[in-house]
Amino acid sequence: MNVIVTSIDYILNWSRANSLWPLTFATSCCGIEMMQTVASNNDIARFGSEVFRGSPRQADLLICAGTITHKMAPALLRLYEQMPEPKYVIAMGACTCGGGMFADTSYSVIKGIDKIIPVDIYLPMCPPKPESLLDAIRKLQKEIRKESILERKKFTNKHTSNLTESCGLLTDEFNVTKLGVLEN
Amino acid sequence: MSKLKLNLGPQHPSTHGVLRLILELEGEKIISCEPDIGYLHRGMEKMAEKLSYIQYLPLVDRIDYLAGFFYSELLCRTVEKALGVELSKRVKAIRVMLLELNRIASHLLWIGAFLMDLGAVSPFFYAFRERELILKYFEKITGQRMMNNYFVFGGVRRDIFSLEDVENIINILPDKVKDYEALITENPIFVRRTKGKGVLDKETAFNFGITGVNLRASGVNLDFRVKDYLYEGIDFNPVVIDGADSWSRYKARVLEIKESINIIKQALKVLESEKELEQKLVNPLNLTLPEGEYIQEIEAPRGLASIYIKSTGEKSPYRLKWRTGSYYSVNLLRKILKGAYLNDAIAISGSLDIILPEVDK
Amino acid sequence: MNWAEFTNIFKDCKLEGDKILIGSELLKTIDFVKTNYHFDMLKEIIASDNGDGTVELTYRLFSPEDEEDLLISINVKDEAESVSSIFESAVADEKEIYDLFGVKFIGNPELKRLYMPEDWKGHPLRKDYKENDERLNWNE
Repeated sequence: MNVIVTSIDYILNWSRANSLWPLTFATSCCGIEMMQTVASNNDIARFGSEVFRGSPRQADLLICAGTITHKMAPALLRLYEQMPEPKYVIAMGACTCGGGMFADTSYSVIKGIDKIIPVDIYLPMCPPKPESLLDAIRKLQKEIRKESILERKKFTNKHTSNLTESCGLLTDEFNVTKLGVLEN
Repeated sequence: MSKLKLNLGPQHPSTHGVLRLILELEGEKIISCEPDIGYLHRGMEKMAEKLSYIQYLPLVDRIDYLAGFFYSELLCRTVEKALGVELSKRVKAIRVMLLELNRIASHLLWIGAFLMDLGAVSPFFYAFRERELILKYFEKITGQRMMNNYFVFGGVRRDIFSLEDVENIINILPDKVKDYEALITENPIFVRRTKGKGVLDKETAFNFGITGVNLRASGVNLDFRVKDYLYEGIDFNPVVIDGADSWSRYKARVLEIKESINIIKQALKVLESEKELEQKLVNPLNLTLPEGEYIQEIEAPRGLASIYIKSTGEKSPYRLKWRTGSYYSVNLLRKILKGAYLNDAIAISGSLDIILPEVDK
Repeated sequence: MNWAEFTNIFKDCKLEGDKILIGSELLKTIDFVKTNYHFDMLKEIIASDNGDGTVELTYRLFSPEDEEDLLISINVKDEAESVSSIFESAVADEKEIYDLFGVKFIGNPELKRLYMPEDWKGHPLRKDYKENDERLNWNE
């Protein structure tokens, strides 16, 4: 039994880790460095992540590049929930890790996106250089290679229960349907 | 025909961040557009009231991360003018050189991103390759790629070095700009998508408070650099084009890159003759501005940027307000997208060079 | 601009530093300077909380012909006249001031919250603003 599981794991993880498709989700400064990572000189395609997707339904990786404010939070949660499993999150930049420069004095910045969605890799710095984003992707790939299909199931179940219980975002006040595509 | 409300953004690859446009459509024609902003509102103005001037200085770069130098310059200039600090020739030349390099970097990014909006991917790679040269130089002298925090009250943080890098950049760039022009300017697809689209006439531009390149592409000769004290003794011609459409705004930006190269050459000459860095830095500890109101302006890549500070003699400003160019460009979308087709919406809004942190502050 | 002619028509105004402080008739004043002195652009509207319940609005007008500025300021309580019928750029400025200071502009077609979520409590840039929204303490 174990032999079968581990060999399936190996193949799955190998393919997942080497073809992480990120979502184009650039909110501020770090987004520009993310673009620089895609562009010449740094070329993210070397690590199989060059396919930036406009739709969350086709993406595996959410690189949250930039400050998230209270107004943006419901949209971020909605995007995360629209992504198919397995999905991974890199919190890029100090703002997404813990509020960064805006943590103490700003009234509208969320102090870390881990209050809204689960985060796999934290990447501080303001903004991180393209090299460090590449490093974060390498680290994420390393984590993915350790996964097993049996454990990931537990992992995601825990995440979803966390979200609905503690976040409080899904109340009427934060009615995510307000951001609907079609109105009328 | 039935009407349809379409939500464009806040997560959309071509909205340059987090702009949300609520469009009302009749078929493919846009009958009304309402920009919804604030998805990146970080409360910069309120933060100024809680921090002292030197604590606020590093934050200022984040207002426009593509042209951070301009906003540091504004804050530094306000303090210098209020306290009567004079800048030496070398400091002025350093600032002019860095501001113009930053303007080039910003315009290069715009060319890449705009063409990507229109569906052309390769100009993005070319433009970013050249932009990287400038960022590498910024990193060398300031230690940071985008949030430089290099200007301080009364001068610059340390003297500038490796000017041969700048010479290298301005030697390389004209050829590269020629390449872009060969690739883009007369490209039939590009021309069809931009010529005659998003026409912005003079009166509308004034009425909507549009400044900068967008205004000059409508045939108005208004460049705030002409009267700027930093640019004294520098000879340049503001780029003015009659055309008023998206294509002219593209052309004006390309020409402005050339003009900036010209300014940098003159600044380098000043740097060669003035070898000694003389500056009298203001002690940032216990720094207070005399009671009163201060307004300073500068020509940023995206239009007129200005700062307003009301001081009551305390350590932090009583009220600080930023005026940014993009904020008014977003407001213009209400007018300019009316009657356009949906597939032109991205092209037109892209051509105005909107950047969201500047809008939301 | 012709100061004598201006004060003849608008008696309720005085020069304070380099700005003109007016008591009332905001819309009329701005219309007057636009048509007579060619101040064709409104650079921005600056709002500042005076701390006593009033807000000072400063209109920074610009004449592209002469390249000079004109500052007109007025103290208002909760309501002010909208100048959006004269300058379209004022629509954006007034929305911002409504959101951050809570000043209602009568005549502005799109007055609603701009930066903050629609159900946010308070107006952040007022001096008496307290950060008491429960959203600030999620999950803590």
